[in-house]
Amino acid sequence: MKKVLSAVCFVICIIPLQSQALPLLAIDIQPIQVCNNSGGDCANSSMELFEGIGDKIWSQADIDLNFLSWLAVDDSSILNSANHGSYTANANPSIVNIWFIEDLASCGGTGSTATLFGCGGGNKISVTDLVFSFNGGIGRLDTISHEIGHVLGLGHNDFGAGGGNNLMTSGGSRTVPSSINDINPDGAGLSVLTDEQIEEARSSDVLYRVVPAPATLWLVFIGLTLLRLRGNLTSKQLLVKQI
Amino acid sequence: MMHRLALAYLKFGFVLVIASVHATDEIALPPASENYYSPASAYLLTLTMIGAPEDWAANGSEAVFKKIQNGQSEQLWSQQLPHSYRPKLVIVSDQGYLALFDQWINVLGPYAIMVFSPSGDRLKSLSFDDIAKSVEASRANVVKKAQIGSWMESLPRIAASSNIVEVAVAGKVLSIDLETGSLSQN
Repeated sequence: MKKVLSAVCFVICIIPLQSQALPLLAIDIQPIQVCNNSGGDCANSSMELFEGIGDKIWSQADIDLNFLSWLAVDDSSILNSANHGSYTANANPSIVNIWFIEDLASCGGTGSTATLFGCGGGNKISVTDLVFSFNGGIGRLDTISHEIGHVLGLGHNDFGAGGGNNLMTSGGSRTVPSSINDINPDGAGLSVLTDEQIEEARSSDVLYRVVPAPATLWLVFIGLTLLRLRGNLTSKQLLVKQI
Repeated sequence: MMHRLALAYLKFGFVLVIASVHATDEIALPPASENYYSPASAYLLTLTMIGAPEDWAANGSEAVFKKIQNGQSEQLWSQQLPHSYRPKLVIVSDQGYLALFDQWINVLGPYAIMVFSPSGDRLKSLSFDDIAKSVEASRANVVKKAQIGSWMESLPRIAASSNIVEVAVAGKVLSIDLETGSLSQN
């Protein structure tokens, strides 16, 4: 019985610690596509989330972006020229709503005279269609990740932001990647997160710790047990591995 | 007491405003129209955005190039530019050559430098990758050292009566000969 418990402890306690430098954290994001009252003229018609881009950017902080299944909201009054305040946060505080709309009046305060791609904060994000037509249709690949950074407590000028290659630098000064191949640590090294930003983002209450799936744990456990039964792994070896 | 309450309320409001305004991703719109003169005001380039502001990203801008003599201007050429919105920076020489730098949006694109002859012919078009190669620096190092846009470490400069533009890139000085569009490193 002791041996079995030791093996279970080894699988649960040691393996996750050895697999990466920082424990993997995740954030649940609920994408919401806004359409007009009759369900037409929908924003983000291709339902693009730039998920591969976002995963690569946030892997710098060992944070996984977990996009939930799409929701659709038919409401012409929030499709165009609304304020970020018009969009609701999720009733579950550990889920971040991301609203896709055609355009925004402002992120708060007075109306904006700039080209507005997105707003983030208060456990919600709003993203305009300008993100998808940007750069000749390539898209503003880092906006969703930038706004997630705001939700996780990062600003434009704190925790080391401000350089042209940093994810959180303001829109007018940040160099936006045109390809996943230019995201740090590859190519031009864009969308960088500093150690300070990573520490701050990882302290957010919105994140949760990812534990290995039970099926994986059982497979490892069965494998170790089989090794033990074949005599390839003695109790002594098992103990050494635990230490 | 009332003063203290009012002060606290104002401070709280200020914090709320700061918190709500900073969480954006936006770029400022360019001016609807802007003039650029050569050092001795012998030539003038006017960049004008096309259409309504919400269409500027797609429509881009039109360049109108004029020669100025005895207070009179004569249009030499005009053309629509391929840059998203418009070029970020412009240099006009007193011999009628023109250099356009970067796009309004900060991307590592094909229009890092574009050189035009006095008659409006496009002599050279250089991408960000061309620039990085010409200064023998990695793309990441060029971006890391940039102070203006995505690759320039300094504003481009032209000496009066010269056709050579200089700009610092990744710790080196890049010279652009406007008559040929060729690059060299100082």
